[in-house]
Amino acid sequence: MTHTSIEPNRGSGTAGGASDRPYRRALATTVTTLVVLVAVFAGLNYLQGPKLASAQVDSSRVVAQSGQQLRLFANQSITAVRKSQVRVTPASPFTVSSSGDVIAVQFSNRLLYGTSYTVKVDGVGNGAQPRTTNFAYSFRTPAAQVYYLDRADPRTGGPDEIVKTSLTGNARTVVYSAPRIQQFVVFPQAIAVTTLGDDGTSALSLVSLDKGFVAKLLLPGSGTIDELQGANAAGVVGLTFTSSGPAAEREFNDTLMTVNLTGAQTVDPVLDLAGKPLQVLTWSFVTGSPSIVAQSTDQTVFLIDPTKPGSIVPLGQYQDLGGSAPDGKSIVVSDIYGKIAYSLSSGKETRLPSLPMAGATTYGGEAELIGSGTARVQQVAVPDSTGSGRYQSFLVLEDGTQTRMLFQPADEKGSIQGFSVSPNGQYVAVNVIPDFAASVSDNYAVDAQSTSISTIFIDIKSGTVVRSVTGFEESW
Amino acid sequence: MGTRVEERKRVFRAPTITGLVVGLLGISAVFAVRALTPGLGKWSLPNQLQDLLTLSISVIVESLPFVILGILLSIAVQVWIPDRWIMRVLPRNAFLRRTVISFLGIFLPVCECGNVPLARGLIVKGFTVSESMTFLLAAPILNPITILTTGQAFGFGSWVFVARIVGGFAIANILGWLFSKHPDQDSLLTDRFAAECRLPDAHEHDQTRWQKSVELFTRECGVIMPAMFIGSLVAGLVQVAVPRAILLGLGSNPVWSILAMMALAFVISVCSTVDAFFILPFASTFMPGSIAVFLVFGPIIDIKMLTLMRTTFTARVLVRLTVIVGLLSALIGLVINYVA
Repeated sequence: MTHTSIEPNRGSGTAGGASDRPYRRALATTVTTLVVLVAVFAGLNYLQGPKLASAQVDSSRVVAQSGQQLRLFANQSITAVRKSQVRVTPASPFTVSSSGDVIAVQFSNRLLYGTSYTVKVDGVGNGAQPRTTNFAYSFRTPAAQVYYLDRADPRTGGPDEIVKTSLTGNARTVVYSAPRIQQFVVFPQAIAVTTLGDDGTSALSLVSLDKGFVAKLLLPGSGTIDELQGANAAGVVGLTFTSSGPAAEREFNDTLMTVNLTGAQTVDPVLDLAGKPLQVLTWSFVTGSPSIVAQSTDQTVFLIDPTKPGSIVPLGQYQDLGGSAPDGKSIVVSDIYGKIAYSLSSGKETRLPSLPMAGATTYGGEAELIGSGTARVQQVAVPDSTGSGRYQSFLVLEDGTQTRMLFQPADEKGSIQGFSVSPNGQYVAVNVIPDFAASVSDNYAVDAQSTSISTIFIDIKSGTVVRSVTGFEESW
Repeated sequence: MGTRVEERKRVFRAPTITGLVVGLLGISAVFAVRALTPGLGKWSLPNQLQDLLTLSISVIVESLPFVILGILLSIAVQVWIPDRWIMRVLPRNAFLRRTVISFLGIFLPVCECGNVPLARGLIVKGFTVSESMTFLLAAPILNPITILTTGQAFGFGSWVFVARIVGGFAIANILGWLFSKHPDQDSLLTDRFAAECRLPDAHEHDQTRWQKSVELFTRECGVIMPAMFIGSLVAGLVQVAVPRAILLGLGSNPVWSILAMMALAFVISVCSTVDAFFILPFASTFMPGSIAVFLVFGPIIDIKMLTLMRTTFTARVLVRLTVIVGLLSALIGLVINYVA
């Protein structure tokens, strides 16, 4: 065997007189040093409480959907955290759960756009160490982005445009353009668009947001589409379809249909209690779910789960049906006495009286609930103070005790055409025609609109106008 | 020469054959009993005994391929690779030499079970005991399979990954340096292995390389197989006897979790090539320093490894090795728990 090592070789032994004192000294020094270091760090660890190792939150989703979570990961397992230990700034309703090394703060409502949130957890301990620590985590939600439809002026021609814009600047991006766009709804990956052909019939297309690919969906025959809406989280499109031809010969007449974009993407009618296609006056998705509330032609309001065949529950007969609250737990209906908040879980009805504004009587119109109670944005009409018998239209915030003006047209010529509240209840978009009498229609066969319509975005809390665009059909 | 050959035959043949037979019979018996007894109805083994056999078999199944691979690499190093090839590339400076040896595992990727026969082969080839020990301690961690699996499991930029790679290197070199101070390297080895190393090659001139390879394979199997059989049985026994819940219950304490993970690593004796994925589910319960300790301590010190290393090193060396590796691993874990 060959030994080329320069270290002491095997077989040299101590017989030659080599002392093992350096080895013993090195061994003792090493062990002693390590014992001291281990003791020091063991002490430091014992006296140190849990630490926040990382956090996880989808800042885009927290403004788009309720029930989103912020997860705080401690560097070790911790004792259960109570709600009283947690503070969210700015305040927003939440629930807390903890397991192992994770604290989950679940936001009951959507958070505000463009806002810095700080979540503090006090007194986090692990039961094995004497010291507790405080966790703090901050994140900023993205600014609101909104899509709207900017139809071309019929006098100048050109395609209609679906525009994406922010409420914090003036930048606008055209995400899709085509002749005669009727309506659209935005999903995370695609836009569902209805367009009108030269013969006045509708087409339904899916446009991918990243590549711009367009795929036409097969309709159940020739006809027109209206009331296009989307259930974002579930990936379901809903619409009403009316077949072409004389009314008496139509196969479908204002028939409610859905398209599951995550499935076969076929346009299927929603069936009524008798198993026949459901004809509706109006309808909407329940916020945050694929469930539908629809008002049939005999004014009965149904709650329908399109994912479960036969799941259709009549809620009662009402004069009108509005949208659902941001938490999806109640809807707005109306009878001859006015608007009602209807609880989908208990069936309880809560009147939404139209409160006087500056001493003047108000008459309530369309309303959208903005919280879990009866707070709402509502369009109201107020008699002209001159006694002319005319009414002026306002958009107000009603919180149940008082009424605050959000918007009124610049003068009596103006008209509020509609409005929608952002999913988190932070902004309201108001569709306004500045001079209704002089406005010119674009003469579309379905959903004709004034060429002068514009949309004004208002911060509900402050009442300030944050943005104004030429167009309508805003989609949050 | 003739007398030395006879002496060598006397020294090694009987124990080698006996060891090989005991090892093979023992391992076969474990498999046979586990396979046959469940069908015996009321005569089948109690659940705990079946668990013991299953756990032992899992250790054997996991280790055996690497042990065989390690023996084959050891034979390649001893018989087929010329001395000058290995020795020429190693620096003469002791520190640099050990540093380079630490990374030999990159080219000889076997887990810790296979490294024992390979380390024995390196000693026979001319490595000092401390150099061989440096290789033995570093190679299970500093090899491509372990690096890849650890990175995949915890992320290549994670504390756990960095701690394992840097910690494995540091531990191997500190212990290599420490034992290099020993003036009598032979005294670190078992008498039998030391005697084997001292004797000249009996068939240096009258055996072909193939004959030498077969003889070495038989001899190494005869030494390693019984150790693996006993080690796997003990590892299985301790796992059955010590409820894992007790160890997991300590996971939230930054100090006790270190000891719990060292104990877990010692008991379950899982190979370094797969231990990252084994421990990954515990990452949500245990602190990162504790996970790092499992991944640094386990490949060097566990029941199976101590049994295998006992074929080569004295009990006193193994005690010192265990104490220092334990302290170094604990220090690494505590520092990470404090900083991370």
